[in-house]
Amino acid sequence: MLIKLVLLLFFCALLLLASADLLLHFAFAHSADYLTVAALSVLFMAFALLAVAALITASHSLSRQLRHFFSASERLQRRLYFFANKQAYSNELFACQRQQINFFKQQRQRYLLEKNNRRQVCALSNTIRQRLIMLKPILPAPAFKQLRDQHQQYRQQLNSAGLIDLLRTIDSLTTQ
Amino acid sequence: MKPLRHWLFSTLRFFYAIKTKQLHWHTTHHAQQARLKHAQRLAHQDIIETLTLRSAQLEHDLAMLKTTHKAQLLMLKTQCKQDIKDYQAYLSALDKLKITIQTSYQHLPEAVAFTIHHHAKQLLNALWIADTVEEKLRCELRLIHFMNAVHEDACVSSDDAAVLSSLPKKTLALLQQPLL
Repeated sequence: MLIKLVLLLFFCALLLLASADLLLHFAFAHSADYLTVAALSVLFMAFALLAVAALITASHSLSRQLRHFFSASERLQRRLYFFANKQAYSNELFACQRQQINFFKQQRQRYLLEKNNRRQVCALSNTIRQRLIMLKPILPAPAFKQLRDQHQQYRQQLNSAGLIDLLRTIDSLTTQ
Repeated sequence: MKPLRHWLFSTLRFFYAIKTKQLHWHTTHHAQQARLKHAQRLAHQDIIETLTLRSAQLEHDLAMLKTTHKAQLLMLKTQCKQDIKDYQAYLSALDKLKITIQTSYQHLPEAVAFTIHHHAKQLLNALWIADTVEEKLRCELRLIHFMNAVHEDACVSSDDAAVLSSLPKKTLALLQQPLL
């Protein structure tokens, strides 16, 4: 309705401006001035009314949106989404916590194994060292050096299998 | 002045005619409008009730889920602690096993004693990294069988002084078998 009124005022203003132009054409300058002022006032009124209409429409729309946002159904819908998200989050958290527990278990097991391996390697290495000291006088220097280097290398690598093989080799050399 | 009045009256008549038509339309359709509004209100209430129920159900499910997860995590933690304890016990048992075999067979080369220990540890690690339950069971059986063999050999050695210098035959036979 307001828009119709605005349009009507706008056309009126145009008509008045056209009339003023005609009057000016027929040399009625004084009346033309009055008409122009009236036309401009009407045009101003039209624009003011348009602004008021826009304001009213915007406020109506805003209030409608707000009412819709805070309505019971929307609030419940949001609550549903909240619980669904919470469930998904809970599942993800559970999977992560499981992974974390398994990771710490593996770390602990690896630590225990390494500790045990180190102890065994130390014992093996001590035995090999003693055997090498015993073998030193009877072995040629390059062979002894090679055995000693191998021993050092396996010990640094914590290579139990290599050390056992080396001990076997040394045992076989001793029996020879 | 007269045409203007005439135009004004005709405009007013037109306006009132429209108002009358509107009133007439409202009177005829009032019952239907009321019915529709009532149905709309009922539908709205129905939606709200459904959503409330669903929300309560989800809240309950969430609480259940949290409780289940908590219990499962607690169980998993306990199981992990037990597994670590078992692993530690196995490692200590293997160390003791090596000492037993070394004391029982004093002439046994140290390389063999270390090999026995190394083999037992490999079996233990295979048991630890096994994925399926069947595989775990198979590895555990092999480890127990191996440890039994070592114990039996040690017992034979301590019972009979004649075999003091011989080798743990059962254990060495098991050592020849491939790991998996």
